[in-house]
Amino acid sequence: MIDFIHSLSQLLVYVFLLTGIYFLFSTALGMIRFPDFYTRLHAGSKCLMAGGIAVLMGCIVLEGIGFVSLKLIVLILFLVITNSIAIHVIASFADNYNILPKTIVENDSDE
Amino acid sequence: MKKILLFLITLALWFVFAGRVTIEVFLLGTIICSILSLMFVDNGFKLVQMKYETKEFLLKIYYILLVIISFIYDVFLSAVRVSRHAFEIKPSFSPRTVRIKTSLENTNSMAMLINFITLPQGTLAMDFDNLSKNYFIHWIDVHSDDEAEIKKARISKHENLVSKLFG
Repeated sequence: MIDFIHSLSQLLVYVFLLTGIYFLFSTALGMIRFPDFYTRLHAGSKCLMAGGIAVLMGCIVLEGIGFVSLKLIVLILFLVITNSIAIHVIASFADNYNILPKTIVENDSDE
Repeated sequence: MKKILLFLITLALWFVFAGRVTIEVFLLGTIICSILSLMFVDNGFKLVQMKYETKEFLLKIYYILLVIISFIYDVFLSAVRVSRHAFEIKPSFSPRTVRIKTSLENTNSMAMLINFITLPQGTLAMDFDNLSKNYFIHWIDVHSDDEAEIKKARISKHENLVSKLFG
């Protein structure tokens, strides 16, 4: 029974870490392949966030219940708060300095 | 009282990060946390609204936990959509910028709504106009007007949720 739980947690760790690797890789790929600043920010915000959370969740499962896991949960909370604020500030800066998207943008902001 | 409360909270966080409780960690933590609590006592407590009863407060913490879990789930869904575009041979985008008016008054609620817009749903909060209370939002993948309306409705749903939680 203990072996089963142990192998299940190991499987969960691998799933989390592989998901994290996938999202972090897609962040890098999106940064290179996406056409303009704002779409790159989408890759930099969503995929990076999901990748970071997945890797940290994997570490939490690997570590089990303990002090280190508590630290990792605090890290996830900080990541949730700070990532979106940082991305919003970068986007706001770009918007204020009139950095325009390269792709055709349908704009209904003047409705 | 506020200073002591902030000192205790920061000291608890200090012990969590330090990972061990020794006299050296305690002394260094005391010095740093007392400086921090003196610096942030005025601004820190402006953010906390102490108008709730204890039961309501606990219920609110429970709801905030639920919101964080659903937020993380939304982030994963959104990341899957964006990463799919990254792996496409010819990435097909249909970006759009829109302006959405908000009825929120509280500064904390507005900041929370920016978090809710920036991470889930493939949206990105570009700017916020303080005078007219308008959010400028960039969407990565909106193909039709119907889809745009659905996404706007989802944002207003999040707005209601944030206004219920943070006022």
